[in-house]
Amino acid sequence: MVTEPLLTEAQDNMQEGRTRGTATLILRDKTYTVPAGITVRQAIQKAGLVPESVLPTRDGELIPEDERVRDGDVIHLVAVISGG
Amino acid sequence: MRKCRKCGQRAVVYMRQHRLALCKEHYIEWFIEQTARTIRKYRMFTKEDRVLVAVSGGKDSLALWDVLWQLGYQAHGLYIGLGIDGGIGYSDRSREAVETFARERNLHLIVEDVPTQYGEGIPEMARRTRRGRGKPCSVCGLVKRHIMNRVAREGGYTVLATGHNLDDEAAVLFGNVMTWQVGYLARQHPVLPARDGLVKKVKPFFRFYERETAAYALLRGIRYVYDECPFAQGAKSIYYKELLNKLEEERPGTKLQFFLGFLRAKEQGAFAPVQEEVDEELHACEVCGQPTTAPGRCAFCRLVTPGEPVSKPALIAPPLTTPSVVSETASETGARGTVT
Ligand SMILES: [Zn+2]
Ligand SMILES: [Zn+2]
Repeated sequence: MVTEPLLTEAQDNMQEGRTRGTATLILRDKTYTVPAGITVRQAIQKAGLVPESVLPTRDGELIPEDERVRDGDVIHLVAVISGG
Repeated sequence: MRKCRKCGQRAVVYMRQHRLALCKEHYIEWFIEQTARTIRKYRMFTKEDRVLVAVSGGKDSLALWDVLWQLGYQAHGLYIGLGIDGGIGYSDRSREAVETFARERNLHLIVEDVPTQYGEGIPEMARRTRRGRGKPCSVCGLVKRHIMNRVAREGGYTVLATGHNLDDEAAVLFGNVMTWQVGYLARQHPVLPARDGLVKKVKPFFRFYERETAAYALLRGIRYVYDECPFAQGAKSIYYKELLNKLEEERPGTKLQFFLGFLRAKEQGAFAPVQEEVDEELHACEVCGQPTTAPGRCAFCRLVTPGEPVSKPALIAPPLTTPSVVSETASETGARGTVT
């Protein structure tokens, strides 16, 4: 039986396609800091938000949820829920 | 990386409930086609109809007008200025967004301004009446329904279209189920035929998730008002939408099944209309001529004509019109479906 070798944090990050650093999510007047390297969808979840209720944009353009957030990224979330 | 089902390029929108990923171009195409299909499938209107679209300045109603325009329907817009500021110039900004939209596309827009015509805005009207106690949304719904029907009749429009999406409809349904408002369940439908002076009402976006109408507006570069109506904050409908979205996260398609299942159940005879309501005749209001359940003046005329208070009977008059009318602004958290 082969046991998995323990990975260092750096290797772990590389394996999951992560890069170091953080990205910022902005929803209305709130900002959330998330680690770079995870997907936009994961980042929204990590911020404690419901992906179904927001749309991620960068520079006013809609971005795919499976895109990975990069170090220094600023992602504006557009709330899709309106009242009434 | 997800690829567009149509062209294989990078997808920008993924709809989990349909397992469908599309690029910008094909998403816009899909969205327009789906609207056309819904309009046909539910016999909402044809190219012969003159359609009046209620536009609030929000994403749904502007997206709807945009789609109907692209599909070549005869669709004019109706904006109703409600006189709501809320510290953010809500009504002014909404009007500006709608006017800019219409100008850019060379579309015909009708503007009705409540404060100009009736001397006061919705918040002031609400403060004077029982109906408005707490929140002005009920008064607002009444005023919008009245004006929309009047403008449609005056202008010879055969159909009134609103931008309600599936989340709007599912939230209303959820609320009515939670409290077992059987009468409202009987009346909730994306197509309400014309009757006795009430113009036909349709909701061509009722199968789209709110997320999809927002994505369409963004991808098309439609400049809409992001802010809520200040009075919608904390509304029950928003709370229900958030709850439903949590369910949707766990099980994609939940919202759609909930609402389409309801329509199917109705077709099979569930939620039959209450008999007294079916039998009830509508009278013409002695002041404005619009249909009302009680003889005499309609609830709207009693609201806008000072002197006589809006009396209790009018408030509990069985609702025969649409359960919810104008698009997504300060709408009908309260008296859903009250006849004007
Ligand atoms: Zn494509
Ligand atoms: Zn009247």
